[in-house]
Parts: sequence; structure tokens; C-alpha cells
Amino acid sequence: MKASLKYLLLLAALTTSQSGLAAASATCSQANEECIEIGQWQVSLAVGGGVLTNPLHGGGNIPLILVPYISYYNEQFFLENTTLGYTFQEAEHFDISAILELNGEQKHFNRLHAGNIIGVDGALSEGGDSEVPTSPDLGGAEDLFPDTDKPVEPKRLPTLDDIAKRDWAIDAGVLAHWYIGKQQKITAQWSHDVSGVYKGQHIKASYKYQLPVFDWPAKLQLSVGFDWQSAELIDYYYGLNSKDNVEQAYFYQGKQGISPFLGAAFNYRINKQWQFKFSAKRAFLSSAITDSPLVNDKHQDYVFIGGLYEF
Amino acid sequence: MSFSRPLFILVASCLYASHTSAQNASENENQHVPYLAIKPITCVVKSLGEACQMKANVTWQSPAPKSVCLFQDKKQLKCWAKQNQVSEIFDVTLDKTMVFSLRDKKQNTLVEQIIKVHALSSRKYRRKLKSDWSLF
Repeated sequence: MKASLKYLLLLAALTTSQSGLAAASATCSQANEECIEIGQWQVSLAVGGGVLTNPLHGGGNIPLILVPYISYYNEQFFLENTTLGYTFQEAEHFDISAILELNGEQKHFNRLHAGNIIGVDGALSEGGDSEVPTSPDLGGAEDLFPDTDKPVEPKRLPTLDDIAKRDWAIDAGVLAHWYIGKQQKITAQWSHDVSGVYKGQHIKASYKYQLPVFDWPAKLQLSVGFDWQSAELIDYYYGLNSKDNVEQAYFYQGKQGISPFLGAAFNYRINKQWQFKFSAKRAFLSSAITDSPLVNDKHQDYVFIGGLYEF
Repeated sequence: MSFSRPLFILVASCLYASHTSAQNASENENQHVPYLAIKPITCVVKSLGEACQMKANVTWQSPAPKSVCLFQDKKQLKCWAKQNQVSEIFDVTLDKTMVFSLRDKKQNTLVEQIIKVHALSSRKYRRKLKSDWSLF
């Protein structure tokens, strides 16, 4: 693990020493959806309706009513919402940055719900379902050989309320983009926990294709990709063990897994301040996640429709 | 060692002759290399990344008539047949520092000149590297 971190940092250093930021022939001549003015804070607010579903038992979906965006870029440093970055190299077809960002996995486990901050939380708690565990990972003898004098009591599946607290984590890593023409982009991001919370890593890669919509001031972006998460990450967040207040029959040890995703985003600029925004994404959760008794759904969906106002 | 002095003189004479011969050949070759001047030698933009447009005054001369082509990096701008003096103005666009060259029929570069692109200030815009919340 440490070897891979060193290798990536070495790679970043080498690419930097070869050409550096001065090679930036980046094709930005004005501020738009892809480009931002250097040295200027950009604050915008999306107002509309949306939801980020929660695949956990007892976990509420996160409604999205008001979504703030904040960003600041200078020549090399940048801040984009919960991501801090330093760009080593930026050229016409490629860029590479070191990043530090909040890991989003905890959002499902937050009993306060992010909706309290970025939206309005509704009646979200679904409560726990009743089900007999079918494939416990670690044996519980009393479950395998129940007392035949008594009817089998269905056991309540573990819910968010039963488990130990899962903490937010901070990741450090490398973010790279390859630009193929003006319409296509490949993004690769490797991140590693530096906060000592889950002690693992994950890799996200995606391909994005952007196309104009008629001759409107609008763009449609389609994306496909995957998120690979290490066994340590999945085990910390989705694993169940003696720290959690659940039946031993439900103990689960997380494995590494890949979650593919599909997404689409449509932006229509109404005027200088306002643009119409629709975005949707579906992540097909890896079996390493869905095998956890804590997980209720095979997908995680995100959808938002509304207006974006730039201050 | 009695023959060392005549041998030295012989070797020195041969070396001098060969050197003089090479120098003459080099001078002859240089005489056939066209002279190229492109002005201005720099193109100035407001910020890096912008395309630079300018009128380039291209002048070249050759002692003997030549058929040559003018290239902007790999792009051919114009060819001339059996000319020995040319002065023309070209509208050129540079997205970076580029090499202008005169090449013969066999694509051999005869002479070249670099035109640099300078930015008045550091760039004003850059790409956004994260398009949305990492939480989503």
C-alpha cells in the first residue's frame, strides 16, 4: 500500500519536472461550465428538488432542496466544495493534481442526515424490516439450531440505529484527467485514508461524453465509470462485528468490490446568473456492499432538478 | 627519430590541406543556405492559452535561385519555384511558440527561425477539476 502511494507521488513528481505548469496551454478563455476565473471565489446555489437515496436499513434518503457550491482556484491550488487540490501539471490534454478531500461514504451513516444541512429532512426513517438471516458469515449456533419448542422468532435485520458510529474520513490522493477533443474526458482518482478511520483506499474512474443540444445554450453530459473500494473501506463502513449491537448471526466482514455507475447531466443557461440543471446518477453497488445485512438496496441513486444561481 | 621532422611536416601539410578543403566546402555550402528573416520575432497575448494572431513579414534571400517551401511547424504555408529573393506578409496564428522553416523539395530544412508567444500576464482562467460535490 505504502509502495503504491510512493509510486504515485513519484509519478506526479516526474511529470511535474518534465514540463511543469508552464506548459499550460489549457484552452480556457472565459468562465463557463468547464472553466473558472483564477483568483475569484465562486459561490452558487442550486434550488430545486432532488434526492440521494440511502441503501441502508433504517437509513433515510437525503432530500436535496438547496445545494450550495463553493470554489476557488489560483494558479495551482484549488478548492471545490469538499476537495482541496494542488495541480502539478496542466496541459491541453492532461492534468494531474494532488488532492485532499472528505470521503463521502459516511453520509449514509449520519443520523443527523446531510439533509439537515443541505436540504429539508422529511419523514425518512423506514425502520427495520423483519427477516430471518439466511447466510450468516460467522456462525451463531443458537440460530442454526433453534429451540424447536418455540416458534422461530423472525430476527430484525440490523439497522442504522443498531450499529456503532461510523466516522467521517479524510482522503488524500491523486486526481488526473485526460481530455480527448472538446467532448470527451477520462477521469481517474486514487484516494487513501489519511485520517486513520477506515485505513483503506479507493479508485474512481469515469468516462464523460459531452454533447451540444440542438443550437441551445445547453449541454448534455453522459458518464460511465466505476468506484473500486478496498476491503478495509467496505469492512469499516458496511461490515458488522462485535462493536455493533447486532446478533452474531449478522456479523459480516467486508471484501473489496467494484461499484459501476451511470450518470447524465443537463445544463441550460438561461441568463448570466441562472441556469437550469438536471442531473441523475445510478451506482450499482458491489456485491461486497450489498451482501452486508445492513444494506437494503442494490443501487444508490442521485437525482436533482432545479435552477442554479451564480452569485 | 631522424625522419621525425619530415614526417611531421608531411602530416601537418596533409592536415592543413584537408582543413582548408573542408573550410572551403563549408563556406560553399553556407553560400547556398538561404537567409531567412521573419518579423516580428515574438507574438504577444493577454494571457497564456490564447491564440496569437499576427502579420508576419517573411523575407528570404538565396545567392542562387531556389525552389523552397515555408513551413509553420509541420504546416506548409507557401511554396516558391526558382526564386532567390522573396518578401511577403502572412497572416499567421500561433497557439504556442513555433518554428518557421524553409525546406527544399526533399523536405530538408535549409534554415529556420523561432517565433515566440509571450503572455502579458499569467493566465486568467483555468479548467475546473471537480464538477460536482464529491459526496454525490
